[in-house]
Amino acid sequence: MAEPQAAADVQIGDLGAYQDAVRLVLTSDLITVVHPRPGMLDRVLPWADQLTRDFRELFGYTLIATTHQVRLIRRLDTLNPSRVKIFTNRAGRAFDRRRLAYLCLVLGSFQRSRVEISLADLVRLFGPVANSIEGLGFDPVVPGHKGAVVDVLGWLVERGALRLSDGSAEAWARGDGGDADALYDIDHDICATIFRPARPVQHLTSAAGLLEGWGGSAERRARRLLLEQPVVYYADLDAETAAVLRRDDVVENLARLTGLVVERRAEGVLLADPGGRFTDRPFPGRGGVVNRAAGLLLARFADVLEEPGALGAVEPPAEADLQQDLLLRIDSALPRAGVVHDLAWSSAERAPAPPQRPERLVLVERHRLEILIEELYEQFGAASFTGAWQQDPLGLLDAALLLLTDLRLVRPVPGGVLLLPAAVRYRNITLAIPAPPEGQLDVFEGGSV
Amino acid sequence: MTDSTDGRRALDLDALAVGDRFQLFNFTRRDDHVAYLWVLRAMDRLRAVHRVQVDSEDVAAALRELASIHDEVPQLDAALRNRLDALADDKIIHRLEDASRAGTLARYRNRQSVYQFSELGYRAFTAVEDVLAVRVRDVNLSRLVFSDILDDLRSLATANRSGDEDQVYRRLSRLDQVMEDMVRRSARFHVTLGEIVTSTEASPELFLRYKNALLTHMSDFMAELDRYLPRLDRAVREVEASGVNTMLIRAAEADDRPFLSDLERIEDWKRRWEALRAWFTAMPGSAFGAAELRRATRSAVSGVIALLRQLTEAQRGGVNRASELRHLAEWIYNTPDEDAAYALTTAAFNLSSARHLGGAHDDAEQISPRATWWNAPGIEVALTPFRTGRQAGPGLPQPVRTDTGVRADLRRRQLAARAAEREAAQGLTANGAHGRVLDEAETRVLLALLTRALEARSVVAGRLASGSGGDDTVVMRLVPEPEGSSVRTPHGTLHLPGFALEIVPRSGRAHG
Repeated sequence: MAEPQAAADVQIGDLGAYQDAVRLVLTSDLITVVHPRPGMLDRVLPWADQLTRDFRELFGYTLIATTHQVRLIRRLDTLNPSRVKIFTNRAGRAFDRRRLAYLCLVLGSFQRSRVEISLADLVRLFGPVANSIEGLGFDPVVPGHKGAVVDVLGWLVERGALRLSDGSAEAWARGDGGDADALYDIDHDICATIFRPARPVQHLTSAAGLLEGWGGSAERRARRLLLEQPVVYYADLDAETAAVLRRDDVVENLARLTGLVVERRAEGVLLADPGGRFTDRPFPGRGGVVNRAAGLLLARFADVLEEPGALGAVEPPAEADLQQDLLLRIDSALPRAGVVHDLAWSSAERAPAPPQRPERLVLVERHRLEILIEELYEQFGAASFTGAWQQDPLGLLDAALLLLTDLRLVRPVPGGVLLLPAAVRYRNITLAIPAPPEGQLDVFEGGSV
Repeated sequence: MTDSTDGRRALDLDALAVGDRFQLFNFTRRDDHVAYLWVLRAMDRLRAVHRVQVDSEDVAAALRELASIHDEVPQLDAALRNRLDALADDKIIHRLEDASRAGTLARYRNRQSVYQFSELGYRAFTAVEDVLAVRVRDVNLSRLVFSDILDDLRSLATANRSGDEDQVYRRLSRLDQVMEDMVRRSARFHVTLGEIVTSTEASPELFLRYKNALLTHMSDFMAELDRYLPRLDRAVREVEASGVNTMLIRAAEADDRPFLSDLERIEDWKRRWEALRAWFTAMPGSAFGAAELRRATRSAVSGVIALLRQLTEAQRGGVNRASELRHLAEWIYNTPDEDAAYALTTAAFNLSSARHLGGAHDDAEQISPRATWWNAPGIEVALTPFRTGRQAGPGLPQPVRTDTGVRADLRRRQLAARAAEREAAQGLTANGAHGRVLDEAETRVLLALLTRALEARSVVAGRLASGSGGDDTVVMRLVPEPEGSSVRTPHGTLHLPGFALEIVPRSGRAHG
């Protein structure tokens, strides 16, 4: 099948602006006049038609673009627990389950006929529904419940779905004077686009129904993997998808669409992002102390790899098994009573297995990880890892490993982490680690002429 | 009878008269209003067969007749007379002495009151019955009325030219009635539509069943309105060309309402004509009635379409959005761990983000695609952030957050706190610090002042001299006092050995 040309009608001089629009759409959950930042909408809207065509032909995505909002409806291939950054409050803290549930209930309690709603009314509407869910509940006197509502409303305000016209939600949460309240204008169109499940949630007997499944075109699936994921390893793929990704025209086409740089190696392929903006978890460079610790850990891994025989290799668990485990955990919580069984949908397909047994990967054991982080704390001084982590090297280790896992550079297994091949592209960070202090024996100095 | 249903007339009534009229509806607010209603219905039934004056026996008989048809009719035997008297008190019916001849002494002694609807009372009763009888769904926009109006306007112009007084009067009053009717219908239609649109959560099926008819009805009406408007406008101008004043005088002359003077009649007709004119002709600077109606209808059409979209969205696959989101909330809340919750939420909302690794080779072509990552050189990375933990550059500009609500709130609280403090300080100046128990706010101010005063003391010749401390409203001085002093507060007594407190208002720099 001939590869559909990306950005076909875009002049070469406009390609940069077009790629910028593509990257914005792919990294923003929703683009409105105010979200993610004012001015973004104007950078995307001029390209709406071409974007819609490209996303549909290359990936099967639907782009909804109006003058007020742009929203990409994806076809999801995997369940991904790491998109935490979408559901966060203003301070950047991820929503807990209560907040996520409240978000659903708050969205569900806006009636189309109302153009505005006060917080007190909203609570009156959604409180009884929350209380009907066992364990969840809403009680204004229980600490945290009001704060959760404020976070949810802040999230909606940030996206332009609500607009504060009077009062203050924070004052309401504090309960100032007993009659503190806040009044919001509702933008129903934005509220409607925020929640766009692939299938009606009540028709699902398993969360697998939210995913695209394996019936679709392998080309599109391959393109989606490369477009959305930091690295694609051939070893994780079935033969058909891997074959598509080995085609140069497919990969080059995506590079033209996104403006990224193709990096193809024997183990897999990735689109590298020189600007560091086309991602929800920037690495390396920006991102603060966790980012730094992750980079330094990679550097230490590269050091340790230089010593032959220092690390053992094991066979990695299959990607599909991890997905299956996640799916089982999600499905265990499905409220069976709410499912409309007459229309219920379930997927019987299973992911096709990779053609051969995966190659063995280097295992860094947990105790070695702990030693490595302690050494980093010694070399750089605990204070340089900020007050939050100064006394908690193991917490920082976990956070850094989580980041590396999300970037598909390591994979956690019981007893440690497996080092994935793309991790060593950051081995130059080794240079950032200072030489041992003077007065200590340095092996290299001692051994050299 | 257009004049009596004309709402604008009621504007002339004073409050006393309005109160009198409202009393007619008093029975609807009484404890057993249904019983009263049935009594009135019975009387109405008798009135229909020209039994105008009735006694309680007649009413009881009529009630029994009604009871044989309707189950809800209450049993009123002894209480009936009281009910009738109460209605008479409300002036909805008149109570009269039976004027018919008794003939025998026994009957004369037992002579009873008879009752009769008062004119206003009857109207009040029919008004109530009208409201009760209304079926909301029999509303429409009167589309066919436009051609009638056009005909009438044309005949009016002809009649006015030929000087036919009666014809002018007939046409004008007909136009008035038709307009009245049209305005009332369209108002009712839009009110009803508004009710349907806002209360649709309850009955989407009803709405969906009629949606096509409704939309056709409204668009037909708009098309007809657009078609007739220019012609109506022309017709109105034609009438005006035939002489408005003459026409009004002619109409007033043919008008035979006896209780109005000639001048009042002319005024009345003038007002009606202007209203009619304002409906169909555009005046510069203001929208005319028909255009308003068109605008209202157009926005109603878009409202209906928006509602339709919402309903079809909700019914997509037979799932109501609210219940779907509730189902999802329960699912999310019950997940065993946060990872599962995030995976589920992002998948269900269909929210995601692309993720890519930063840093790239400048000379990507130099490296063979067959090389492994292990054999290929590492990429160039800015080392400063890793060495020092600091950004190499200034970083992304962050959006400015303006939280006016919170800011205003903080400001308000600060002002309140300052006001309380100032009040407490004034209390201290007025009443002094000693010899009484200070309240909470005063204690706080006093301690703050005391801190400042103690810090401001200086040692002169080995002895502590007096000190003073103040804020923007008061000054506290420590006056030496050999016996010492004490200040009583709600939390206990504060002893001040060696000095007493003197608090004076700060008045300009001279004292400061």
